[in-house]
Amino acid sequence: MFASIRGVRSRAPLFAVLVVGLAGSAVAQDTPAAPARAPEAKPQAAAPAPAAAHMAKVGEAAPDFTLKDTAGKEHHLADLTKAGKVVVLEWFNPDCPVSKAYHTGDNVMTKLAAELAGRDVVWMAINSGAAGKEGAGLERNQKAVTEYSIAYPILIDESGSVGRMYGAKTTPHMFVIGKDGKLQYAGAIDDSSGRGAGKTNYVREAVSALLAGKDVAVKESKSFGCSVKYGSDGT
Amino acid sequence: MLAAPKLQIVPLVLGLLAGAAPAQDGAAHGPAASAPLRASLVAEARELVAGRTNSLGVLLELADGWHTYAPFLNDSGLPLRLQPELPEGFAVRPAEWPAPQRLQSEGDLLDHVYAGRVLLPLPVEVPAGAAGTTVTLRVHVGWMVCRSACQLGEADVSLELPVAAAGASPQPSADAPLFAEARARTPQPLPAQGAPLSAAWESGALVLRAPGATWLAFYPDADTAAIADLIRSGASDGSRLALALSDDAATRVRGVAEVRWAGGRAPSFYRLEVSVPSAPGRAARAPLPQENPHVR
Repeated sequence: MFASIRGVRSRAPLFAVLVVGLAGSAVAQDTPAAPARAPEAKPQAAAPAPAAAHMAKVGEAAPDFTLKDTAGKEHHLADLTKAGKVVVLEWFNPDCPVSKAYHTGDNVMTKLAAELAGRDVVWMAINSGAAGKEGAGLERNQKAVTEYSIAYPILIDESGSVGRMYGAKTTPHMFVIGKDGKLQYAGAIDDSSGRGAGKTNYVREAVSALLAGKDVAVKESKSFGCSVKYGSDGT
Repeated sequence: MLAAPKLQIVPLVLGLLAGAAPAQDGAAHGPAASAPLRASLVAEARELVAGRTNSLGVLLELADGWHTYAPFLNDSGLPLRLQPELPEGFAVRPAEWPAPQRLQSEGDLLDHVYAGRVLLPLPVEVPAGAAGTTVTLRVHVGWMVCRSACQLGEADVSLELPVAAAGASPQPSADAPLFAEARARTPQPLPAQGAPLSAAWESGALVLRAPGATWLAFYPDADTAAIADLIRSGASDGSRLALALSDDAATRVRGVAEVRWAGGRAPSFYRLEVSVPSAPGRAARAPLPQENPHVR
């Protein structure tokens, strides 16, 4: 997308355009199958710490939660699973330019949510920003609903407890939960590394596979975006 | 930064990804002083020299409190992006970037970042046939900068320089000190003999030792996702750092070690690439590379 904005490069024939590999170029080089870095038990540890049982892990039961949306309505994950829904969670911050990019222009998030709506899929945004951090709080997110014409609920998780439970690191950070209540995908929205619409939208792929009763091909990827603006532990 | 041969162009601070957000004219042409990041293209010498690799770099100057993301293992952020656009026959050589700083955020997030002033080296091969001409080198730079909030930005930077004949020794530019500063933070391969830092497997952990060090840190490459609890184990006071693996399938650990010394001696930076022994619990000495195999 940087390229798309650069626009006119009429001297192209005279110049060689190189994209420096910047190997490490962090996110861009991560393979979709790269293991997620959610906190995990150390291999040398005798047994996983009890707390690990409550942390989201792909292939295991998604941690249950109840959160209120910007209209005050409660959403309980277990109820949605009982109702046979595939659930998509989108970590969100209306003032993060990466979230913003997916909610303007091509409107990747809302379009995909609309495409999947009515197919036993429930899409919810979650804002785990602590009070006082940019993009956080009920009022700002009520405004975001209209600002970005978001048709799905934005859940407020100011304590950050649900975000921490899922290991949500960035906005956006996507999680897909199957009808069986198991976490089936965790990671980026797509393979763009935040620079333009990606070729593969991992969430669309995951949800489509689940609705078709198939295995999700890419279950984890490296998410990218602004850090989730958590408060200090225990708030 | 006021060196004459530098043409610093249009720091754009745009809202955008995917052409998503339209350019904000106000921000795009606002006063540079208020921008969280300014980029420019600089050269170590006043002229390029034909027929060899020349030392250039993209200079990023960040306002106080802001950081951008270094190409290492990060929990958040977007990678910096440099897209050089060079005259025909010119080529960019790979280069090691300066070591980053660790940045820990609430929520157990760890990122490796650049703050303040950082020069990203861009060695440019100049063809012999370019001697006697004046050329313009351009680089498109894209970044995300964050303080409490984040902004995306991009800029086209360029530099016009004369090309001296092969064998010439041009005067250093006013920016030459920046290159020396960057080299002091650029990871080096460990010397084959008498290395001040050692790495060995002990009980499944990679243990770094630097006798005499007061502080040790390890900055993993983006594709090394194998170290457990990096927030707590990735840096330590003293001369020993134990890096436990969190991934049984990992085959190698790659990254940069920073060693700080007592007595005001400048810190050392080493590039490490260490194979994981097939049985991680087995005590085994891992060979360290003789030269930097990592091409950025």
